[in-house]
Amino acid sequence: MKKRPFSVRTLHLWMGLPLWVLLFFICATGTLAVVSYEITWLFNPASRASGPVMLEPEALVASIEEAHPHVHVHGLGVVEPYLNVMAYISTPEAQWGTVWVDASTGAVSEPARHTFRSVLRALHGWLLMPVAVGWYVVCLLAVPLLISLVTGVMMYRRFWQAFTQPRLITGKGSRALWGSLHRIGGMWSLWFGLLISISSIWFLVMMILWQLRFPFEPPKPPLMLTRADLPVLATGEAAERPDLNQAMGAAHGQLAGLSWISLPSSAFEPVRIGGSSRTLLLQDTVSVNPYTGEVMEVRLGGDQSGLMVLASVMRALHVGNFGGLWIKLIWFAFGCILSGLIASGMWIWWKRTTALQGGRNA
Amino acid sequence: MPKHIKPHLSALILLIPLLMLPWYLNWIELPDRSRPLPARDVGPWSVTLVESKPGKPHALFGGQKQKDYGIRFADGYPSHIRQAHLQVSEQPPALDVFDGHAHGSPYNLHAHVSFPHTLSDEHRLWLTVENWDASVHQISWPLNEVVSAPGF
Repeated sequence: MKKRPFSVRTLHLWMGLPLWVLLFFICATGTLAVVSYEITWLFNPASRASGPVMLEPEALVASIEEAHPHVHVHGLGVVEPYLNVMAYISTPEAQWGTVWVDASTGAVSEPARHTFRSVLRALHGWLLMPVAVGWYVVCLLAVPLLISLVTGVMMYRRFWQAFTQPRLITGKGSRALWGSLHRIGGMWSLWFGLLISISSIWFLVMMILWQLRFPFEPPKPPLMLTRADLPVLATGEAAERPDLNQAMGAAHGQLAGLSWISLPSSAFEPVRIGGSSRTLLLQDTVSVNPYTGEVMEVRLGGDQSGLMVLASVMRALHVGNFGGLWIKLIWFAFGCILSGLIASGMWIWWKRTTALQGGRNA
Repeated sequence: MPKHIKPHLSALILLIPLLMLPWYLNWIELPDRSRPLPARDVGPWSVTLVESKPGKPHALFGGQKQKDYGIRFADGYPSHIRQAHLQVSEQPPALDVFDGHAHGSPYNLHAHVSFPHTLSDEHRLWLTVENWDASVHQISWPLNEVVSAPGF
């Protein structure tokens, strides 16, 4: 048989086929990860909010400490209006964990170290391998994904017809039908595939920079209180938790739509309160003096180094968590199409190969 | 092997996460490499210093050297403590440094400690514990006790 010259078609085939199971697995777990909170809502009653989800930190922290006296709360966050407030905690047994707190009833779930969401994210992000290895394995798959998308468009003459006059080939067998679906799906989800593969290549670059310990922020000390700001207590007197409602009120005076609060992890750290409702893609943060309730700093999402802004934007676009349920559902739908492209591509190839072999054997 | 079977062999890679699952979910604990030192008293408290990853300090991008330690107070973090802090220096360190602040879970505090480029025999690792009544306790270890690497 005459050897065919290198072609775009061969490249398309070689990018998708050899690793298709792995690529499909990463795309499918990523698609599920987009709606992991919503799946949690379906199956875990403790995550469902019974009323309006208000971030009133004093009451929420008090509920948690009452339910679990040894739990230490690091922060609270509103995820979605239909989910309870999530609290980030540590316990004597586990360094990190989470609980759900119902803002209306004060009900607190059992501390969880692993959740459906965290396992799914670990599977999708690093295949449960050591992160420094698995992260590269997963991110490197973005390269064949990107080349598949580009070669796919190059193979498809008059590709704009997928938008102007999409045509499903029916009545000519399943291979022709799936072939036409593969082409139309590929074109319609091209923007999404490019977004996912380019952001994944950025994650690869980010990990390399991270491992080189490249400073993502210009080396300036983080905002801290000075010793003069700290109160002096009588000997034997225990420190009280800062007034979180007061801090929250002060931050709300600066910015609206704040959705999380991070408690100081040392005596010199401010209370940090933030949210992304102003720009959707970037976090704005207000730092408040925990002892006086005064606002120390308002840091808008754009006031960071270019690398930090890039990292925030890329992550938000990749995971689709920036605009509520509708964006998540769009990301989920296109994630399904992208996963379907990988599976249908393999299936079309399989059909053709077995048909060719069948022809030879006959 | 038939040609059309080969592409599916990448499924074998998925055995890796399947095999890793028991460790990930802590059904099997990974060997803990951290090295706790014998407990010592600092003021009225008993504290255990933990070398998080035995070995030399690692280099940061700018060339600074850093090493991570854990600090565990018996019975958890007492609320009378205002701040715990670790620093490498020749003299007991002054209080107005922010490097090496203990942070994280109060049951298992964590500190990133900077190491000077040139070390003398006088350099020690100092633990400073400040109380809310502004009293201060300091204890120290020779570096060869807290850095398990040759040359220290």
